[in-house]
Amino acid sequence: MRCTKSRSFASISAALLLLCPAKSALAAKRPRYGGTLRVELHATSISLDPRQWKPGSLATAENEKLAALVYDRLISLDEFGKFHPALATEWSHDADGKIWQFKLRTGVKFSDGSALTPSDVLASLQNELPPGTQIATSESGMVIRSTHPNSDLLLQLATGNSFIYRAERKGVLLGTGPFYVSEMSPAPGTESLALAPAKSARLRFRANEETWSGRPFLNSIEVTLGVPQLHQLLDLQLGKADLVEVAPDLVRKARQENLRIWSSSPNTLLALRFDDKQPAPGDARLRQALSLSLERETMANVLLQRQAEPAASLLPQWLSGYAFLFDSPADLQLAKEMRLSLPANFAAGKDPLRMRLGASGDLMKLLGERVALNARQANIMVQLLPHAPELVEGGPTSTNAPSPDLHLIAWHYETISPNRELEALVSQLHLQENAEGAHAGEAGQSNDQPYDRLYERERHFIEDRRILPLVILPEYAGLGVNVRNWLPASWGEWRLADVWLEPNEKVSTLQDGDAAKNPAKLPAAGVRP
Amino acid sequence: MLSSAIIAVSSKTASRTPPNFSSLLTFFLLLLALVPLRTSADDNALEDAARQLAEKIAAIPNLHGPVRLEITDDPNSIAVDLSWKDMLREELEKHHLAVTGDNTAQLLHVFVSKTPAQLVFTATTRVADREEVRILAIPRAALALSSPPAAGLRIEKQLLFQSSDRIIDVSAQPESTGGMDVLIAKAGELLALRLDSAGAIKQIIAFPSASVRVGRDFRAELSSPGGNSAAVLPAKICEFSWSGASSEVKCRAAKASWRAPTQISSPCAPAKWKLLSGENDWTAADQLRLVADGEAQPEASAAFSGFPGPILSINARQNPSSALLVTQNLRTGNYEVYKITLVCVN
Repeated sequence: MRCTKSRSFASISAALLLLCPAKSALAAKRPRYGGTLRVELHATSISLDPRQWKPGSLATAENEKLAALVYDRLISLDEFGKFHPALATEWSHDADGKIWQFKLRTGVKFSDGSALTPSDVLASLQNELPPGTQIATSESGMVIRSTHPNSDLLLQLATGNSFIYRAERKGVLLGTGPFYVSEMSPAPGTESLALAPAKSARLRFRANEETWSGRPFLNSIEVTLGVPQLHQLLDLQLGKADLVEVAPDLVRKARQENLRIWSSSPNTLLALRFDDKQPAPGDARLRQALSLSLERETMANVLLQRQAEPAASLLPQWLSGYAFLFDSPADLQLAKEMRLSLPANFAAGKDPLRMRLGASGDLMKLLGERVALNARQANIMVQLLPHAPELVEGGPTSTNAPSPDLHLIAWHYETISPNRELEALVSQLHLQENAEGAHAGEAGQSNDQPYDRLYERERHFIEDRRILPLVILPEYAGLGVNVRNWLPASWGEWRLADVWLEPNEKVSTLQDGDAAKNPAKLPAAGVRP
Repeated sequence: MLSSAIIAVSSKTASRTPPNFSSLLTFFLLLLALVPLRTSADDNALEDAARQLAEKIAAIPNLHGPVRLEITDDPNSIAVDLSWKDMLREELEKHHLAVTGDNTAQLLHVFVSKTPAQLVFTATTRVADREEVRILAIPRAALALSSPPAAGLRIEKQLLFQSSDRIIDVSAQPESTGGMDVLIAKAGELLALRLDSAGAIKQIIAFPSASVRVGRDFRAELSSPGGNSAAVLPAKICEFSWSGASSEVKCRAAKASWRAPTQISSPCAPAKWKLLSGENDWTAADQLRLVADGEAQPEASAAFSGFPGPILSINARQNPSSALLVTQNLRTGNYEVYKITLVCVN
């Protein structure tokens, strides 16, 4: 390990850890304290208020990443399936799994120095728990009661928006996490911490010296918003950024450039959702014909250059463990036959299905075009409508906008609880359950075979075909050569409190000889298959 | 039912009780936490899974057997070996569902998949043109303890102890009893454990939480200045005694004097050897390198031995012929203590 200059920190203990160890390291390299991690994001606005987040949206995924810097949860889950104490140090439940008790860690302080109380936990979680669940304070912490066995509760509390915070009068939220927001540019409004959409908006997070979990290694994290993804990649190559998002269509190129690329488990589902208010999707034969026409393998392997996986289920394999049971092979001949059996008013070109793109971006447009192409091969006409941000995916549509029959939606898995995710999908996308599916859902809550029931419930939605999974995408990040201890959760959490930076002088030789001096090697714009 | 984490007693709450009672309580709770580590927890959990799954399968209407059992293990999953297939077969046969190797028999396919917190067993079979699916999920944490030590050629390693709690340092006992002392961080508290040669916990000493704050990159080493027991911490030394009736820990400010590179002797060569680990961060598995003492080029390693995670500590202070090494197994997340000895290969 090289000897580095020590820097002064407020915390004496942290400074002492900087003392240079002997040249011959006894063990793995010890982390280095200090430095600023430069992060670039495509999103133009960020909300650090979990109360404002919309389940399943791509924006929520971005918000959650940054919120995890500021807030803690009651418990955490590691990569080995073990739950660890965070703000709760102990937990237990009754034999039925209906009553859960959590003991709160003592001595925890918010970033303003005030103490964490059970009331803060109650206020943070009471609107986030599933229906039929109540939370109350107890002598040493919290009690969560459910009307049905809640075997998934720990999964829900360890991920997603189950953050603990304190809402101040002006809407500012305080956290107990490893960082606090020290600077926002432009300054946020008084109503919330949400940044207004702005060009080159920046956030700076500073290390919380007093956090219960131990001071993070970084001094600060600087986040620049609204950076186009191609620019992010260029900045990474030029050493102007340390952590950037990488669009799926840029991953191949980035790897060819020998950039450090990380990918999560596939955590964003792209799917078609039929609009139940329109007459055409009411015909099961049309839904089946369209489903049979879709070449998911081609979408994943050719269109998305193997950076995605074909999807036949609502929950991915890594989340449910049983997704391999579902299969949606393309069968163009059968699709055509199904199409022929449809009423005459769906004749080719006369009455196309209108498909609204549920999110902006080249990828959605590309996928929408491929869906239209596949459908046309089965003599089903599909007309693309551009993304309209004001419209809610799968929800009521504006009277002024053309009414879509289909929505191409993107769904980001927010938690690692399969039950909670399926419930959120059903609720947010207004999926209608038939009697059998509803029975499976209710039975899953009350009996001791929740996993069998979860599968049965999902199977009903898949066989009903009001939602057609297309592909599932991982998220990708590009890392600077000096980023160390990058230990993200496979489901997408970045965990930046454990990251540290190698001194620049040590890695400069790598950069000098690489992209920094060879701009001609930078990827071209608009990389397409 | 108690979670394992419930056993992790908060140091802050425990500190209100008298020290002896606190230590005793911690001792018993820690025993509860660690005793399962010493038993074959994996086997029990897998046996349970086989029993429950067999019950579910046997309850499938009109499934009479014999069945041909096939097991597919998710490549990302914790390997379910042949013995588990035997367990499931035995359990199925208890429910009068015979298992055969006959290829014409009805197929019962069991898939094993890993999710972030669970191991999911999915059994599928076709009964009268109907696909029957039965699913069982068990916590992954119950299975995360198995990690047989790999064999080394010249550096021999033996797994001595493992814990789901963070092991900070380890030291052989000076009395040559074959036991060892271990520093662990548990729920933000620093504990020193005295283990006997079988790995059983004989004594626990809790460090005062007011003096010792376990941070993100907490560093501590066991030491024995002047025959006493101590833990060297950043800018501090904490002394304690294993033999006295009192388990009081006295901490005072002191310049941290960290261990020099670990030296180890070889039974067949007079030279002293240095044990060096790689310079990875905590994301990568390390290799232990054996370098002749005085060798200017650390690259001139005489032997290598791979470990299942980053090497966090090496200590040969008490015994020149062997060293104790702490690593975090990146597959299971457990912290493991290995004994390192040199074996002459001719």
